[in-house]
Amino acid sequence: MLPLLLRRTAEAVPTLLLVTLTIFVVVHVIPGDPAVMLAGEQAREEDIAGVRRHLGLDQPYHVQYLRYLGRLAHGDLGYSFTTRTAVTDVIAPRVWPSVQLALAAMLGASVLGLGLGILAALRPHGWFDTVVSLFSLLGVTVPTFWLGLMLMWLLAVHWQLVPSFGAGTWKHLLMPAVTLAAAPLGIIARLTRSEMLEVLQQDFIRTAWAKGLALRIVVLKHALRNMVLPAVNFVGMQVGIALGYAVVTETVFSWPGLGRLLIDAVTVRDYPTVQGLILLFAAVFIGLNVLVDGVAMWVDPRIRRATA
Amino acid sequence: MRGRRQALRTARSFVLVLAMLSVLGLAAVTWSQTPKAGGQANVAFSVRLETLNPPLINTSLGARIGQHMFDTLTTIDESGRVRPLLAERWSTSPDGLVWTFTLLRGVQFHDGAPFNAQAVVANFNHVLDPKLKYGRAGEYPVLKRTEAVDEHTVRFHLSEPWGPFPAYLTRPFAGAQVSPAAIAKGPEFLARNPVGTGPYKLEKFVPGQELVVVRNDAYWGKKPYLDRIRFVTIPEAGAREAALQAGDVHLAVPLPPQFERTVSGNPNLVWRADRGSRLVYVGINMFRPELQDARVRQAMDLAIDRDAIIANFLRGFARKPRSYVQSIAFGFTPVSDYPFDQGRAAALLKEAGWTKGRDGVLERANGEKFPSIVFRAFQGRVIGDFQAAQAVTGYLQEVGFPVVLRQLEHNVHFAEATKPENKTPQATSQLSLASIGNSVMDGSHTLKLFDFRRPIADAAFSWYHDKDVWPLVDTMLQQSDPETRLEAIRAAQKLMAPKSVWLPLYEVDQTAGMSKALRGLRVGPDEGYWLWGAWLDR
Repeated sequence: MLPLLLRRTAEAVPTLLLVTLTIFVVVHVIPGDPAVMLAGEQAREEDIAGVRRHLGLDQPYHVQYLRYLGRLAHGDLGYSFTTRTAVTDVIAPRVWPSVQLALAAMLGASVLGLGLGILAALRPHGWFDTVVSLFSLLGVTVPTFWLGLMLMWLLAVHWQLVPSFGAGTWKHLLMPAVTLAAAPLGIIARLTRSEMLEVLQQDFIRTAWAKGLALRIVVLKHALRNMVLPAVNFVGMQVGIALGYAVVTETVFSWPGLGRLLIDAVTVRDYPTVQGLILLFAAVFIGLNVLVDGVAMWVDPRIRRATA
Repeated sequence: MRGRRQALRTARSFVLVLAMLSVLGLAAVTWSQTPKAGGQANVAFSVRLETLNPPLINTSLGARIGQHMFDTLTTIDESGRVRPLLAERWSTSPDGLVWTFTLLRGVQFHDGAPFNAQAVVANFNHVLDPKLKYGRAGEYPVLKRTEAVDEHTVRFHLSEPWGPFPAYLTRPFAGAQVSPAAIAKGPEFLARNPVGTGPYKLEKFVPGQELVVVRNDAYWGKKPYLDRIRFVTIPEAGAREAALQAGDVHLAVPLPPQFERTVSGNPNLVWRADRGSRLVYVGINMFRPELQDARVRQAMDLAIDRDAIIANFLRGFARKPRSYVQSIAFGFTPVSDYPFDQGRAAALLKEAGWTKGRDGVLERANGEKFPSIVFRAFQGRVIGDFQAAQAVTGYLQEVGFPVVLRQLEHNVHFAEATKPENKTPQATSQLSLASIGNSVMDGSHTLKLFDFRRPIADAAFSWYHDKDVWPLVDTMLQQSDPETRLEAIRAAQKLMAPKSVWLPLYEVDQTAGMSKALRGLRVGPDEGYWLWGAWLDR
């Protein structure tokens, strides 16, 4: 299992290289000149040219890219255009709040989503299934932005149960985590339900019922084990998707995470910070995929044997 | 008789008690009006503050927050007059090329270093250092050299006379005075360590999130009341208002006018609409031949119903412009009422050879259509900006202009509109939404944009080429005599407004929500929310 994981990790290197090239091209192609933005609207041509030279943006694209790669090879993500501080110093303090938020949201979404999906599958088309389906649909369709503001009005303004912004305690985490969890929760619940329904119709489950096994044993021992693999896959996928939702959630709740930093950096065309963040997101996404593969091999001996 | 006396005594006692109650009541009111020291005020603001190095702060609001820690040599009072701050007095040489400033004595930076002429020299050398390439160096385009004459006298040598120079020393970006010891440690240090002479000093700074400042007990000026101020970035207007309603912040700035009703509906809150200096306008690209005809531009001016825009999109929290200079700036002269008259607009267009065709688009008698007009606009920079652009598009279409509205990010909009290819007769950008604040409260700050010779003309988005305006701009910028300057500023407005060089739309108010517990807040015309005179009435 370890050699395979190492191989998958090594395969990530060319992918990340491609990511660096793609981000480089994208940030330079989108309209907007960072030198003009930094110099201000009433700056003279020579001031703008000076800023451009200082940022190294007067160099040909290939020179800029190769310089970027050279620095990257030494673990240097460059300097933020706006603050003139190291990008690693800009990103580092934002990592833990983002991890906290993602963990809380995904843990909640996974546990609740799997639980609700399983319960809904046990009585398909019953009232509980209908309620779960309805809430799943709402979770996926309600805009994150709107949900966040509504929660804020209810929990922070009217009931005054939690603070309306900021980070640091579980109370601060509650609203952003619930908002971020809503969409993945809906998807996980729906997928779990359909997967469970499929497993429950298998022959071995019929045999288990015929043997007179208790519901708990049939569901938790026989059915659940057979649907763990797809569940791991779609939970893994949702973590990646949640990175996207986090951008909106962090903005609404002023959560000091990476998503909000990305928005801010894109707005002011802070190329080094944007490149650093996208590279980090790509690395996290690839890392999650490797992790999901590892978990799949661990829970399913057939995959272990096949890959061996 | 006795009964009457008794009644008189009773009445007298009643009046006495009433008087005592009134005095007590008055005392109570006076008490609540008396500033109280102590406490922490929380402020939610919209922009992210990523650095505390003044020349790198990129928003007015951010710089104004920075002013709680940094002083400038001069300041501007509510009436728009330049007043001493760290400089006691100043004078200029007869040729206007040298300005001499006498500095306050006994002022210290937060690190204990003395504020003196050497510190001022270090600050301006830092901002203008060619190696550092600060864009804000452009705020002092004619400053050649700064010289320390003695401990408390500093001399500025200019390459050409600059009348409003003392007003530009109020700029909170490049004009902020920072400790030379901090400057010596470089921009990276300055980004996190603001060491000024201001009424507050740094306690905590989390870039992009929050800034906490504490009272500087060694402040040279009037001591502030609040012990501590916490500024937090909440980019979403709805979330800012929620924080205010929840009581988590005392001041939410800015808040768009649509929140006026909910804020005013809360008995603990108060809605603020302070007069601002920001003028929203539409620049007309005069490189385009069809827009060089003044009658066409005048028709555009007449086609727009500014009153409706202000009433519908800004809920009245804006003023109809009367000139190209902001109404609170020095030299403002009302030159037009900007009437809404589409009939007259059509007549002017007819005079210029354009009439509405069957398809509703302007055309010449030979069937030549009016070239399509690309109107570039942005959203969220100034209150009501994009809605106003949509309305302007509609009004211009009504009289037959083939306008296509394009939405861009504010930063991108400027970079795109000022590209060299857009400064040609084949330009694709023909109308540009823009806005200009006037932090120095001087008409020349806005009018210099109409001097085609100057690179800053890009910021007008009109590229108006009129040699009659140039000597007026020279006079208003180079002369020091207020009367001479005033005359030039007035003459320039009277010269340009009838030619519809711009389409001024509205002067926006500065709207915010505030807790009633917060007293004594001073609001300047350029997003200056200053809390050093504020206190909490707990």
